[in-house]
Amino acid sequence: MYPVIACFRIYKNHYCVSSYGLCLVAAVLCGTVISMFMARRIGRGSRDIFTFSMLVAATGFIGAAAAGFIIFIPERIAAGFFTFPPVLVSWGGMISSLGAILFISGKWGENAWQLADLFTPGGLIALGIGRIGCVCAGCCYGIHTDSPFGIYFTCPLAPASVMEQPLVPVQIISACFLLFAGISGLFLLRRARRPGGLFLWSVVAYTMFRFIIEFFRADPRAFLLGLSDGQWFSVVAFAVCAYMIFKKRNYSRDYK
Amino acid sequence: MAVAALVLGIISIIFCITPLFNFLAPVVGAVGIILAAVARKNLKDDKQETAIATGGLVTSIIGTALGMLMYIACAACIGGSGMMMKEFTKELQKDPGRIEKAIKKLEQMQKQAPTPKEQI
Repeated sequence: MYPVIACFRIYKNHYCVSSYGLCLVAAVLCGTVISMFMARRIGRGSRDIFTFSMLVAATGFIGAAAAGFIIFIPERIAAGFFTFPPVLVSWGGMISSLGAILFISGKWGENAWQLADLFTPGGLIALGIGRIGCVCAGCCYGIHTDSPFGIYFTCPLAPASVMEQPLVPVQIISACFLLFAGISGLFLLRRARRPGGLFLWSVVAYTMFRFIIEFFRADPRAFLLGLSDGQWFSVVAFAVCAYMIFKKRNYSRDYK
Repeated sequence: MAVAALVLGIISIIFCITPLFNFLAPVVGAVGIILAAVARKNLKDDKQETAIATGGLVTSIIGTALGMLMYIACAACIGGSGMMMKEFTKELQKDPGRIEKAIKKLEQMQKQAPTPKEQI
């Protein structure tokens, strides 16, 4: 676990390359390449998909930063507005990415469900790589455990290093789940019976997983009525997607 | 919109190397990517030149990627690591290139600080 990979000196200033940042860049790159590859496989132009992919990734990043800004406003005010560091929240990125897909669909007449299906495998794999970045950085850590599966965060730059070690490897578990789901999505994309099926079922599976894994996390999060912000997002997203799946199933049955 | 994207892309690259504005670089770059992507698609549909929009996209991607590389961690717990990072950079200023020495100094500081369990 190396939060900082290397530092450079450029004219009296030091710049450090973080492993988390490297994983972020790798995640966006992989997600884009996978989406373009899958677009070709299903017989659609990959150049447009590159542009759409950049749009979705950039919007996702801004959404993640905005969500991090909003949910930690009390801490930000207490610690000093501009001294509190910028924070990325994954569910904020997912919501804004979906907004970008809807924007693309409205502006250029694309089928939103097909686009959502196309970006789902790449998006899941990108999130998985991001979680590997969390392991490297030592953030989004788990609760203390004495089981043999616990991991130690020893570098003082890692936020998890101040906790009683070892910790539940929630980042590794999340990364494994997301990578498995993403790779499965690559094979299931061509077999999806209805547009949007792959996207909706992926969200249902991810929200169920996220709700459970949040109970094993110990990093600072926003809480409301005993549930964390990630759990509230999971509940709402699960309900919406389950309803959409039910509605789409009834629609196709009525119009056979 | 294409020109705005190009300007934002250049600004994000400049922010990457400006000490006080490092954290703004990925945000400015991301906005540049959005503008460039929309402009590029619109110009392509109208069968017009996309050179400036493509330039804006490339510079914004570079600025965002460079800014992201300096993101230390994702969660709010970096409040603590943010302070550690400041100390780390201070140690580096005194002795550039000796990352191991700086980390050892931080480990000593960490041993002296009480753990959350002790605080409870």
